[in-house]
Amino acid sequence: MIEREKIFQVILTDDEHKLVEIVKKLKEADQPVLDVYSPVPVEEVEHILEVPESRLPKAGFWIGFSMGAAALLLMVWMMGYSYPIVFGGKPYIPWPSLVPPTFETSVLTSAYGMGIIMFIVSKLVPMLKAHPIDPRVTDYLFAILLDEEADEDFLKKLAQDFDAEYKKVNAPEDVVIT
Amino acid sequence: MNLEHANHKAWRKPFLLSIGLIAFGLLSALVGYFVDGHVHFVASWLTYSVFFIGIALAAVFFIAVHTIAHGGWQVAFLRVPEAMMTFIFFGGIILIITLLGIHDLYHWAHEELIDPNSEYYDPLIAHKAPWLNVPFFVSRTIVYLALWIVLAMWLRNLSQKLDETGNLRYWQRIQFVSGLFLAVFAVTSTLSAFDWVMSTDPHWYSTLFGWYLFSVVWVSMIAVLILWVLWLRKHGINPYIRDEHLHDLGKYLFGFSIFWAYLWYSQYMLHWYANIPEETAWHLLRFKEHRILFYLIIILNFGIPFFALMSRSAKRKPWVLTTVALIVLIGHVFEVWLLVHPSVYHAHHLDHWTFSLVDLGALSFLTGLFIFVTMLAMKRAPIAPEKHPYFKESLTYKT
Repeated sequence: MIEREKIFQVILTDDEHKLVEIVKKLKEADQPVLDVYSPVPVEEVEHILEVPESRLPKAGFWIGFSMGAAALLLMVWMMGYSYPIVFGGKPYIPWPSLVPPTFETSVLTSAYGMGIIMFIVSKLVPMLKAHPIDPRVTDYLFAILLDEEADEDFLKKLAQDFDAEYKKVNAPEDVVIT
Repeated sequence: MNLEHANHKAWRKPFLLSIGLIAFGLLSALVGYFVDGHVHFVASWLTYSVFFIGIALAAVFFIAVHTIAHGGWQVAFLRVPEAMMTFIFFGGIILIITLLGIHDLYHWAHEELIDPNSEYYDPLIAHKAPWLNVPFFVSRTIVYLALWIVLAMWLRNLSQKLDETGNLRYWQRIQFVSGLFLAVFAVTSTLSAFDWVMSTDPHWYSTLFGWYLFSVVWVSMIAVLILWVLWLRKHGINPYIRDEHLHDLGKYLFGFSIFWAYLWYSQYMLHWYANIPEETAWHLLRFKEHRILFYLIIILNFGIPFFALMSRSAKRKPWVLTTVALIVLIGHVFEVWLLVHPSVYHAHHLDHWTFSLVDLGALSFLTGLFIFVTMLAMKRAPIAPEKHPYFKESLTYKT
């Protein structure tokens, strides 16, 4: 697969408080911030960038709910209708003993489902080659990714004000996940 | 001390509410005494005094456990649990007065049951007599209450001294007292639940009953705390309360509702599965006579909070939190009723009774008293512990 490359502008800083301030300034100046990369979660950035709330928890809930319901129905059908046997004098459909397997199924499928969905959404597949904007982003640097059209002088000055690093990088076009 | 908040005119409302509830409670308990009879009367007062003492005790636990864990988020509204814990004293007095009816409440308190020559001799109860006898029971009750009151007042005192002086030596002492309280609480919470509630049916036993009752009062305490915190925020009496606090309190209500359901289910499922008559009798009595209540408490205490508080935005909406907190409180009011009353009337061979006037009387009297005491205690201290070492963290942390 031939990946088309594109020039991006990047501001790199090693302090999460500075990161928040820079992103705030960029937002005020109406500069189009494409993405922020950080080695650790930074709480405020997504609110400033107005990133829509993740739908992953909802997906997790509905996967867990539907698979739990399916497991419960399967057990009720097997024990109550398909092959009814009396176990230790309990009724054919012994609901208290069906609660733990239903719970376990819903937790298991919900967790695996969320993991798989996150891989799909993030376009993570086996044998994928990583294209970090800067190798240090995986270690201690926070990176703010901007379009080529953003105001270069403004960015340079901003980086200088906050003692941050400014640079231009070539990266695959689909580096930004929308 | 900065006590300006005590002059806020919004305090009139809880004051009038508590006076009204106390008056209504006394009236309906008095009328209920003649309608429902003596045994039902003492059983209701036992149920709800234990419930409200439990809520006050859970407030001490809240402070102690967050102090030991170096939690900082709760500091902005720390005065609310600190005010709630003063109720242990007043609830304790009512409980001790209620114990005058000990022979009506507790089957095991009848001497003839442990006399081998009597026709009513009950070997099982006679076997438990070294623990379940009136003098030891009453002295245990007094010891539990005294320990809790002393430790709670000590904590409250130290917290106010810390606020006056800002001396961190007091903070170290608070940590010490919190640790001491947790050690005492670990033993006394289970034993008091066994004594006051589980022994209403002395033939029945459940090892996790202490934790079960703890989960009931702990969830109720969080619901009460949410209601106070929302009220203080709505009227601007405590300006430090933020959405983050509501979110975390909502998480607590959500999480510990599941904890309650887990303990309820753990107890029920094991008894159901083993199917030993002396264990299932307790559940069977409740299931037969109060089937609607039996299912209702599961919906009110687990189903509704579980689905209503699941999403992030719901935990940040005051009206959702208020509604769910009230629903959970109502659920636990029925829940504790169901723990005590069926055992009591069964021991007396009385026909089964339902939630009635005398229960409503005891409940509303104690609710009124609880609101009144909490309100007075909150007015007597600055509304936020501004010199607490984690105060700033409480104002800036993110959820």
